[in-house]
Amino acid sequence: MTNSNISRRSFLKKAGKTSGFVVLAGGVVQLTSFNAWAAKKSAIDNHVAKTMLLVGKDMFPGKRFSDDLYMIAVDSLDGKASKDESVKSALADGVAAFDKAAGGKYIDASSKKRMKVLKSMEGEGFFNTMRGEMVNVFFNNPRVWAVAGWEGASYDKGGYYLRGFQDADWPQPSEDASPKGWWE
Amino acid sequence: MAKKFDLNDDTVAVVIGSGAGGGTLSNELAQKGINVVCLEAGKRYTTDDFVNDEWAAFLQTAWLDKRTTSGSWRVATDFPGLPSWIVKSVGGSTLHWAGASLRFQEHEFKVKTEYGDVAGASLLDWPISLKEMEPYYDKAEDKIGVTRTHGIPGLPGNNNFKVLYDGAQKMGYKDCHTGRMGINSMPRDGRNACLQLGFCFQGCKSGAKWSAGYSEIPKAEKTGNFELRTEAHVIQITHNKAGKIDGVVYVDKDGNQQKQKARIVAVAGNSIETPRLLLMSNTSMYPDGLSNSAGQVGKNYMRHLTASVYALMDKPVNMHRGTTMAGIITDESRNDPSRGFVGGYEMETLSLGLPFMAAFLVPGTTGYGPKMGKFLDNYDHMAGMWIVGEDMPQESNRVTLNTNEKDQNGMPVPNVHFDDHANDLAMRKHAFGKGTDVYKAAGALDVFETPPYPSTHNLGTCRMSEKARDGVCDKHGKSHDIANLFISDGSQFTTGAAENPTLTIVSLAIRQAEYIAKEMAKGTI
Ligand SMILES: Cc1cc2nc3c(=O)[nH]c(=O)nc-3n(C[C@H](O)[C@H](O)[C@H](O)COP(=O)(O)OP(=O)(O)OC[C@H]3O[C@@H](n4cnc5c(N)ncnc54)[C@H](O)[C@@H]3O)c2cc1C
Ligand code: SF4
Repeated sequence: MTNSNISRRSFLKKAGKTSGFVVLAGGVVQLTSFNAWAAKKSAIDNHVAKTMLLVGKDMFPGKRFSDDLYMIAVDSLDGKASKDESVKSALADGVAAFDKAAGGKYIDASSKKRMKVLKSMEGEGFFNTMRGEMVNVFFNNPRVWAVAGWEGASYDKGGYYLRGFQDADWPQPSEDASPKGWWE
Repeated sequence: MAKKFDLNDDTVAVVIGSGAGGGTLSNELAQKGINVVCLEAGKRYTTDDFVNDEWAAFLQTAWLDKRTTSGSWRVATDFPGLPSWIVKSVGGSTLHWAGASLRFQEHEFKVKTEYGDVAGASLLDWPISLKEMEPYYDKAEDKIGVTRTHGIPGLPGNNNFKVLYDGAQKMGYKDCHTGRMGINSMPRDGRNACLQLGFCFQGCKSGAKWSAGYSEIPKAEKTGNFELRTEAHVIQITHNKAGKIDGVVYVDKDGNQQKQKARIVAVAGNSIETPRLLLMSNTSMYPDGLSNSAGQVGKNYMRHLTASVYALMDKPVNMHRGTTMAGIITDESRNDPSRGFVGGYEMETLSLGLPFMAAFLVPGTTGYGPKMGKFLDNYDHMAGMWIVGEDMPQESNRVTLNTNEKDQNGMPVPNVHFDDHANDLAMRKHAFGKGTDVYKAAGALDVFETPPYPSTHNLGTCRMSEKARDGVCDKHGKSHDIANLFISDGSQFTTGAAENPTLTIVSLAIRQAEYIAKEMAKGTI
């Protein structure tokens, strides 16, 4: 493999839900098949990556979001770090600051402690980087949309007028308030 | 038949901006046989160019020139460089608008009389009444093709509306329906019917939604009296020795400065760029900028109350399917000071896609955490509304020139200063409460009270007034100081009312065109 990013991505795709990083209920990051990550030439090291994954997840925890999905943000920042040494060191420094604030390793801290760390870091560089990546990259990713139930572009599918724009299980409003469509 | 006018042709009317105000005024003047050059800073896009992608569409057409903010409003913290969401493109913000097209209520044209003195507010009655506006509202509704007017049926309500309606019924609200919308419920005026795409804020690919860009401009071009110049960014309005306007200077797409002569100039750059341009055009004769003898240019900036309530429902909603703004509750729009504030507000459904929802649900650095994660994870269970209320004009809320920062043309950037008035805060609190009640009644598990987005309704910075000392222009949008200078956009608003502004902007433009044509014929301008 010559391109570490592509190979890691395809690995994650094949590996599905059970591999990659798994964040257990208590918040501890465990690694199954971690060799796959370690074998790649990533810009950021394992500890930094693990912490980033958990920070992203702590910021926007969702039952339907798998760890593979959270890797979207880690991957994206890893890509930037591989092109820019200053990004790489900022990520490492940021994780170190989070660890320090957690009084050990952020990834080993209780969820209560981790929320406190996040709160204390609001507006700081690494916090902003992670939040920005989650908002702008993670939530702008079609795989995440599919899980959360946003259907993305609709023009190529003819819009929703024949595809469930009135299918929610609430009472149908009066004809006066909501007339029938022109096609009916 | 697109026409070309000479830069030295001093018989033309120059219109700055091609949005709701400028696009409409241009077409109306051209229809009356007046030669018009419309200068638009943005590019021209067709419905084919629009993309069903929130960030891509935003980057494609939003006004992203440098701006700064100050004041205690939350937008200044959350979006310091982006005080407003306006469009830089042919058609202006009507490319992204949702289409809600409501007339003002009678009392909203005379709030000073109606509300009395409100401490800290620079309230003023409009120099026009609803009665005078009615014929123009009528024409504007016909032009735009507003549903539930002129025999045009209302739109069918989508999922987001069904939830709103259910909540409204249970709350005992009387007036809840799919709204008066500038969206075709059936084919009309050469435009398609709405396909319920759900990307109204990104440019309507089916062309069902009225936009000055493809509804007004092509009609103006057909007259043979009209030239549109795109990527023509006006940086100065010039005058002759007698103090009358004689032309404008603009930067063309190659970065070269051009000077277009003019018989009259109408400014319609939206309420931040319009006062900025007047201020930037200062000379030794007009040291404080054009039309600023009363010192009112840039003051009384209004942005509507705005707030949103997003609910997590107990069942799937799929609010994103269909029109972005799919219905309205008008019961709270009355003036009823017993609620603890003057003026009123509208509740209108609103849906954002997941990318924008992540950015706007709780904007800024506090926008994260378990509750936010739960909402976004269950995006398909969300329902939402936007609250549009009358905010108080205040002299200190204003657009000024920030001479420490320069834009791409080397011109000082506009600074937008805003503090919420106590009345705004009281109204927002009330509206959050009622919005929450609506969704709780419809089965919500939890709600977010979402603070304002960058302003989409920018108003009042060159307000019309009966007396010259109270404002910038008269009841026709004509400058109090300079007879051949006109304000033709939302900057004219004396006060904001509770209703979305565009129908009123378009009505004023139709009315202004009539006035200009008449005065030109008489030779007074
Ligand atoms: C997302 C969104 C949703 C909205 N929904 C609604 C709604 O449902 N109902 C409603 O009533 N309103 C709505 N609005 C508001 C509505 O779009 C505006 O009120 C209206 O378009 C303002 O008209 P305008 O003529 O003042 O400015 P605009 O329509 O913004 O037009 C201004 C034009 O001037 C150009 N310009 C500016 N400065 C210069 C310069 N120096 N030289 C050359 N050109 C210049 C700009 O590029 C722009 O094209 C919405 C707006 C947004 C962004
Ligand atoms: S929902 Fe209707 S108005 Fe909105 S973009 Fe789609 S077709 Fe256009």
